[in-house]
Amino acid sequence: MDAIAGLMTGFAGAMTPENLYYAFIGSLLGTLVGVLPGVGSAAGMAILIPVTFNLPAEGAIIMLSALFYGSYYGGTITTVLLGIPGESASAVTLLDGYQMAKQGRGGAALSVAAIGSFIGGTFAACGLVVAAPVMVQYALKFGPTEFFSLMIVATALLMTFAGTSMLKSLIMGLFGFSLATVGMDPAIGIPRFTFGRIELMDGISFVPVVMGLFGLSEIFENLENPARKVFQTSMKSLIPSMQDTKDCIGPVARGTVLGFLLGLIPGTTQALASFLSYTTEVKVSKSPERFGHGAIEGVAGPETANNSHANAALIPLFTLGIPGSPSIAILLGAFMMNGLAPGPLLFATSPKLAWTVVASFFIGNLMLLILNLPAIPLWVMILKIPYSILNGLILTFMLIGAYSLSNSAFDVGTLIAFGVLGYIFRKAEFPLAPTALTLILGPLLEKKMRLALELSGGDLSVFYATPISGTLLALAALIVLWPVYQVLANTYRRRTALVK
Amino acid sequence: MKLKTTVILSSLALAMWSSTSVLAAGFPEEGKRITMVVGSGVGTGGDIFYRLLTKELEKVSGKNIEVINKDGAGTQFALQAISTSKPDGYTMGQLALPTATMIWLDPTKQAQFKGDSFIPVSMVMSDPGATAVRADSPYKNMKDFIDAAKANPGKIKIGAGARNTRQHFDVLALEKAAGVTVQKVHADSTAQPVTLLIGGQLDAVAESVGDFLNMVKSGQLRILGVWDDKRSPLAPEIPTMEEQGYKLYSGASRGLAIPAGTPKEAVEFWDNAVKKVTESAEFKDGMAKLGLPIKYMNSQDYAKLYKETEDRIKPIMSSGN
Repeated sequence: MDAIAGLMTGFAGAMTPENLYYAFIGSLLGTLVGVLPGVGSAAGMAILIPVTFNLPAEGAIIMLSALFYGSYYGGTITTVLLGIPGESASAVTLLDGYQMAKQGRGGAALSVAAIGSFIGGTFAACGLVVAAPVMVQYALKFGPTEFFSLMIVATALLMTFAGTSMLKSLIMGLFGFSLATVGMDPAIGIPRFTFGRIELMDGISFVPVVMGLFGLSEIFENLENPARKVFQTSMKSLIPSMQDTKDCIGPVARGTVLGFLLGLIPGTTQALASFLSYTTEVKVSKSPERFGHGAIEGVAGPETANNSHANAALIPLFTLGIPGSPSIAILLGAFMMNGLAPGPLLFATSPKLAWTVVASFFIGNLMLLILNLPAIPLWVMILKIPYSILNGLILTFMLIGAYSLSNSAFDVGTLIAFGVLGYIFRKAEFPLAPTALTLILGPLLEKKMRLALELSGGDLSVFYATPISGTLLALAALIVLWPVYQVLANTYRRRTALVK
Repeated sequence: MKLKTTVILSSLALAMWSSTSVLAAGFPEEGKRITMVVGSGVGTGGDIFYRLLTKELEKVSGKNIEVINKDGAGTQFALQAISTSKPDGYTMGQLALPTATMIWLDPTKQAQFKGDSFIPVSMVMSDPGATAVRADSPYKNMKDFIDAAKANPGKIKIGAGARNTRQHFDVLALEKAAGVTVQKVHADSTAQPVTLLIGGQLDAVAESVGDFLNMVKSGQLRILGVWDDKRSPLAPEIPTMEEQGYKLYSGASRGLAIPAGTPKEAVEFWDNAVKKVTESAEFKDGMAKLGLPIKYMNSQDYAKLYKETEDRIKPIMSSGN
């Protein structure tokens, strides 16, 4: 097979000392960028770009790619240990990961996340070698119409978060959706609910909201009982138990496939992949009530999915030259600055470079695994810091992180406001997760719906009369109606039993 | 691991440091922090262009210049930041025409700045508008496209930027010039309509030559016409709109703006620096790779164009299409 031969020459190219060095720096910086809250992969890559001006093309691209997918390894660390989601992609990991850390299983959560990330990332890199060009052609058929229906399925899955009160989680979901309407109207280009603040023109930023709702409100709550001890952790808990490993096989496999397929579709985000993976795990689980209280599946699935997505999202770039996200646009820029055009001809015109870069994905993912696994005991040591000191540190990191998002004090204000709000919600026992999730879904849902309608000329039938979109909407209806059916069926059975 | 990190970070710092040299006297005083405000999102075409320009400006001026991205709202945040910064010559930033003009002329944008809030320093590049289709499209030239649009009024789907942008006005101008109506689909980024075009959801897209060039080279797209009075040096085989009988001209230019009230010597300093940059072999090489044509214009000429653009757009914006 051509691809395999190509990959072999690629490995030869990627194994040279300098390319290994670039992959290593990229992985290391990626981990650091992931660890620092507020500094996302795009910002990290932007900082690195001026340095790559002076590097050879291969080295520059290898290093930037490694930083990109590496940042999704690092993002898990602060999320699990401190309850600060470093980036939107790991926000959902917080739900169970942080609970695990509280129970002294933070090490296991991080191990599982690192291993899952490695499996997801490597699988996606294999996909790039084997089936990429064909699959991307199909992925492009997944236009705004289908995208919208997929978002509807995701919204329907929100019901899985019902928890104690369905009403409360619906309210919180709608709250997230209404927050998502703030900003420029995506179709007409007129500002909505901005109250004359240009900072709100692009909508409320996701990261400070999530840091506030989850992280800051947690700190406020901790202030109520200042005498709290440090988290309990033992070395034994660093390694996932047999039961943990068994529990994770399914989530990792599903997360890999889900992340990979979504990654092929330009415009999807890592956050969406991890969110869909989480809701899927809750849905298929035999004991969904464990989620939100430290279920390891809730860490394994999303963390695998976001890395699988990150690596798969490189496929549209390599095969068509389409950048699916801001970070990938930077990679496209790195290609262009070296006079290369990613696209169908890349593997024909510069095969050595293309295969070397692809081979470096395997090496980079392996490096990240090796970098991350032994470091976990070190990271977990953070939790040995007395909480009174740790609180201050977390607060500092969150404030700096929020500010560094767009060099604006407005985001710091957003963080604090949502911290207070989050505290009130916690006291009133409103679940916070639905708000975070609808805030991710809202803008995508609206943008895609309006784009689909512009394409169809306002014809609504495109949503249900086209095969992919129609199937997805039917699935959404099934998800919503199934519990209703179950309730009705149970009542009927009980009645007939009574009559007998 | 800590040692390694230190080694790497210091080597990175060294790599950045070694590219600067010392020069100049008078304006830029020693030790002042110089900022370049970029309105394009990190890593986008615009951002890469300004980072390349900044890097070369650092070489010419011998000063370190810090790039700050204030992205969002179609460069409005960046313009806002520039207009409110101290007019001392140490803060400058992205000026994209006609995008910037459209922001302050559009009342719904509630911009807190106007044309006279800035001094245009110099134009650096200009990328002519272009209309592209898929390489396998039946439309081989503009005539095929217009014929099809005439045969199917309002049926041909064309990606026309966001609403009230240069791309949108381009499509309106084409409709008027050719006497056709097409279905305009508005997307909020450049990548999105191109993705839709390749995915088969759109029939054509209106953007700029530089946005298409890579995909034309890789055999995925075909440009039907360049909206300029002469062919692009980067793609000399593509005919202009004028050659095909449509007197349509459009494009996106990028240059530098500095807040109004900045001393003349500072404006001249940066204008001269930009001029030197646009003549340097390295910058030319970098721009050719990015597929962006250099077009230098000094502050006087650029100011004239700046004024003309405003006068040209004002009636269009107020007609409220």
